[in-house]
Amino acid sequence: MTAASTVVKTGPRLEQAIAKIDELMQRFEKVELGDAASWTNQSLSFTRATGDMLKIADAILRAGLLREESRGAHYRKDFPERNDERFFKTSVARYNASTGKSDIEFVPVKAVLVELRARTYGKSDSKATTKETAATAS
Amino acid sequence: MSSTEALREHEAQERKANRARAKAGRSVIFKIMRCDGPGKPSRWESFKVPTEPGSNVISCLKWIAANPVTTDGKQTTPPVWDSGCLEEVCGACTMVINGKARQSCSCLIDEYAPLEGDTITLEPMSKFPIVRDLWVDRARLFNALKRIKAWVPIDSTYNLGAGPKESPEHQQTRYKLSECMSCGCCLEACPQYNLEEDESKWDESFIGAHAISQARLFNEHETGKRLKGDRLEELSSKGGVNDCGNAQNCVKVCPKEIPLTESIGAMGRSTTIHSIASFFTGKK
Repeated sequence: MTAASTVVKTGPRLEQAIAKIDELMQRFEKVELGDAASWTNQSLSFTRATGDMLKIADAILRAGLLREESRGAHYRKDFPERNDERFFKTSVARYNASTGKSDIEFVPVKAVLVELRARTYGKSDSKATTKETAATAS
Repeated sequence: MSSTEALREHEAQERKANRARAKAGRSVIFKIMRCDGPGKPSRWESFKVPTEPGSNVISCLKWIAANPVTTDGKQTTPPVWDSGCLEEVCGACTMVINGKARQSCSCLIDEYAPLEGDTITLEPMSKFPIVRDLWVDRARLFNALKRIKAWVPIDSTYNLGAGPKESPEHQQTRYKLSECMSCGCCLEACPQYNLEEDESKWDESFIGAHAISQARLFNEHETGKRLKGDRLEELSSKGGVNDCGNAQNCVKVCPKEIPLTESIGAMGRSTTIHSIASFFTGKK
């Protein structure tokens, strides 16, 4: 997760990580506890947490892969611009018990009081202008 | 330089020297006191652990938990320990390392076992009821904080207005006391503080250096002062400040270098004044 899904991401790397998580999930199906004690069994709680972490990791990776834009701390090298038309939305992950994975959907953000504009941080060079265009294109 | 400062200086030099001669890529031996639960017998188990730069006791325990095979080649259960912040501010991972209580998270292997095959001994603290392996139940320590009402009496139900002013000098003194993380090192080192598994006896057993120091911290707080009488009353009662035997071990082991003996002295004086005053005025 640290290598694939922190701030800077790429589509292929995310797909690779999703495949890896899928493999780990399959391995988790037949996980064995190193400690069979019935008293303060830390292996048990840790193993449970590991299973939950795999599900969360999968949801984070999928949402990151579907969000084909760059916004704030989500920077996709393959999609360096912000895309308000498609992604001025909240990513919602819903756990699907039948697949054991999360389904991602995008819910529109209600922001009627604030007009969308490019974040240029006061810069007005050519690069900032292209960002502005991308943002106002919606 | 006080004897405590000299001891700390000596230990710091020793750790620094060890760090300088630490061999990269070595393996060290961990000798761990194991216990399956309350009332169960204890046993020693040794593990050979490969180190890497910056290894600490927790990272090695994690390695052992993933590879629970003793040096005799016997498969065993992963060791159990308690930990929280991993940056020496929560106190949860306190254990007895090479015979001295300290936090295991900040205990660097380079400073304790610099050469191939060096041994580090881990034991649970002996003054608290054991939960399992290196994990102990520090409830009595927190009960002591309740006894001396280690809090500021504000319940946010009404506005108290602007707080009282505090001088920078006074703040500096109190800041040092506020660094206490309730880890239990001072109690492990204290000859007057002994294992008491019976919860009903906690209120009359020795309260411990940490609680005496916290009573001082909150008595010195401008709003916390309101409970001063209650705190001094508790410290004057059985198991209070008078049970201190003046061994001064607490101040030597405190990982935050809190002047615990100064606090005990200050509280001894306050309780004396409090007792005389209440004898003549009849007020608690």
